[in-house]
Amino acid sequence: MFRFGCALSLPQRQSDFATHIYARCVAAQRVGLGVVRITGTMPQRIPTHTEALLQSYIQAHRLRIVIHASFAQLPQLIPQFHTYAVLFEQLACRDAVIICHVPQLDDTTATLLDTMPAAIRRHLALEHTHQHPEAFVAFADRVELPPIFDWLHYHLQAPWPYQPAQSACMWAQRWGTRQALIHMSSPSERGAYGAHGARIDAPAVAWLLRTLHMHGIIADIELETAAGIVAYQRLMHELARCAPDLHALINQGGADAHTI
Amino acid sequence: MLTLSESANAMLGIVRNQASYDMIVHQQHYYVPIRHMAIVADAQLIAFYMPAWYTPLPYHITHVAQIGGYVIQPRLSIWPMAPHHPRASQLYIVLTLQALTTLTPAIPSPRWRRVSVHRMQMSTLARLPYLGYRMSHHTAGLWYE
Repeated sequence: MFRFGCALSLPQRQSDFATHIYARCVAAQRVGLGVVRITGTMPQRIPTHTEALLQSYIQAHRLRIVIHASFAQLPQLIPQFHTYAVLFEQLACRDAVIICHVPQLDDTTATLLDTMPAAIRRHLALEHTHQHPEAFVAFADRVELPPIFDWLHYHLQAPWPYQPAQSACMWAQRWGTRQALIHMSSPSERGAYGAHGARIDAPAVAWLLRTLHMHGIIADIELETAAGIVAYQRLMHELARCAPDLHALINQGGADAHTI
Repeated sequence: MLTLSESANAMLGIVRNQASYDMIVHQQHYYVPIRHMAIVADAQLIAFYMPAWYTPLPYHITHVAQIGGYVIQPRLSIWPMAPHHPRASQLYIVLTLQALTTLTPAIPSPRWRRVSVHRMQMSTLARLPYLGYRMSHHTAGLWYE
């Protein structure tokens, strides 16, 4: 079953980190999302009374926690990565992902990534942004970390031959025993060049899912769109209409249709 | 000053007794069982329904407040004076309230005597006297515990 995730726009309010995670897990599960994106602030240790609650909720609903690291120089992020790794250990989130951007594909970055502790590398993945896809995937292979295929950035790079779905499969296979994570977004109709569109192009998602399915690859898809859950629900509606066989492969077990 | 936007997500909570009322008014806190997190997570406002015990204005929604913060706590931490309560070890969401405001006029809701926590938008809340009967009839399982 494919799992989906997207940004959740919950009201801003003061809370401790455990409540923040639990609220996001519940909100995501309620609309049928299996990938939960939590903000990359410095996490605190989870109190004992909420640890069991979070662990059981995440495991019962097969949720995958994803943290997007902030845009900063890698050496500054290492203390944060340590706390993320401790958090994942505490919550028994073995498939959780720390998404890291690598602005420069140079020797210094490679050395830094190579020397990171195994506890961090177990969760680390590199996100494709502005680099040429071939150069990026070669760098990911060099540092032995899985690459996150990003549909929009691939599209903007427009490499030849233009095979986004096939490339997504090849990148997903580099995740080995870990379930691959893929970023899906569509170009903005009105925004700046390279901006994420509010809507997700359903035929492109169907193309991606069908190719993955043909190759026997199960991946998690994270939608990058400002419209968040609205875009996800619209995408599910369109997929159910145009590709019901693929829609049936999406894990929406927690979707709650109660709206007023 | 609390601004009530019609599109804001609101939740409705019952004030079960005088102790809960005092906690809301004096400590600006309200607690909700953990199973209602889905409602609490995306609510911006909370309105309070007063049942029969509130003699000044029974069966009315009398107060509304902004939800400023929330944290998960065991019941024992909230009510340390009741260590032997059957739910002492259960988890609750403690809401921190901001800008607690008395609704004038209060919203009458004579049919809802067992409602506990409910999700709606402020625009719906304002029309409760007119919509209450029909909606409670069709969605009884959703509205009542």
